[in-house]
Amino acid sequence: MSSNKTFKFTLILKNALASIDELEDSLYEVGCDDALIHCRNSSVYLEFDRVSTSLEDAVISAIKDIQRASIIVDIVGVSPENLVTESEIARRLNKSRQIISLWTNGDRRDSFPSPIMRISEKSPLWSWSEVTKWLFDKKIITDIEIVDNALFIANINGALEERDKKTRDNRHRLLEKISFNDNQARHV
Amino acid sequence: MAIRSKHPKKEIEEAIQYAEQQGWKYKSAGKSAHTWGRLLCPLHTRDGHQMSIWSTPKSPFNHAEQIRRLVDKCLHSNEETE
Repeated sequence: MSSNKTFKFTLILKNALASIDELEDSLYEVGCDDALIHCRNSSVYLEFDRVSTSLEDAVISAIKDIQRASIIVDIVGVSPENLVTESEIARRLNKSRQIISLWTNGDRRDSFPSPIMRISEKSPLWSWSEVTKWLFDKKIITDIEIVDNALFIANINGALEERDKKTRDNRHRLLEKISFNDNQARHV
Repeated sequence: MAIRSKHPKKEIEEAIQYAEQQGWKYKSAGKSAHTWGRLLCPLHTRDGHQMSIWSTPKSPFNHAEQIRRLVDKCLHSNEETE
């Protein structure tokens, strides 16, 4: 039995063609009255506090609500995002930056995931879903839901990107190019 | 500067006052039927933030918290007036 909880997340909208008045009213009318609308430049953000049984259900229902609205907008992403800096990891875990550094340097505990972007720069980026998996394996966190939610956020953002036909076609063409064919043995 | 009415929900009115203490300014809701009003962050350029406040949100308590969170997150909020 799962019970209802409040989930906090942000949906990022682009190309909101309507005026802000229309945007507000149409989002209100489809049930987004649990979100705070704010904008900066041409991006619109919806800060949700949505009651649901899981983060996945909460985010999916919010996306579906927006798609029912009378205005047309592109939903481009869901945050808190998957790419995190060392200080963001510290903030999310409510731990000191020093502890995170000990983990990432391998000075305390082993096999912390490698950063996946900006590897040679001052503040590299880690995948939050890989980090939470490691934390769970090391029993630093015990709530599997955190691991599942991190993976969901990474995947829903991928799915939102793939909805764009051009992006999808391009990716699939590249995927085709780099795929192993039958004659080529894969060394595992 | 526009003169605003009080927000009917006490907790939201308090959150609006909190935003105003950090330098946010009221802007009218225009033609929107469900919006009480809007707040503009202290940076009055395209790069600044604007938020829309509902007259009757699903949960007044959560809406007030959302307002405070955004004010705290905005880099342009005046910290010295606290």
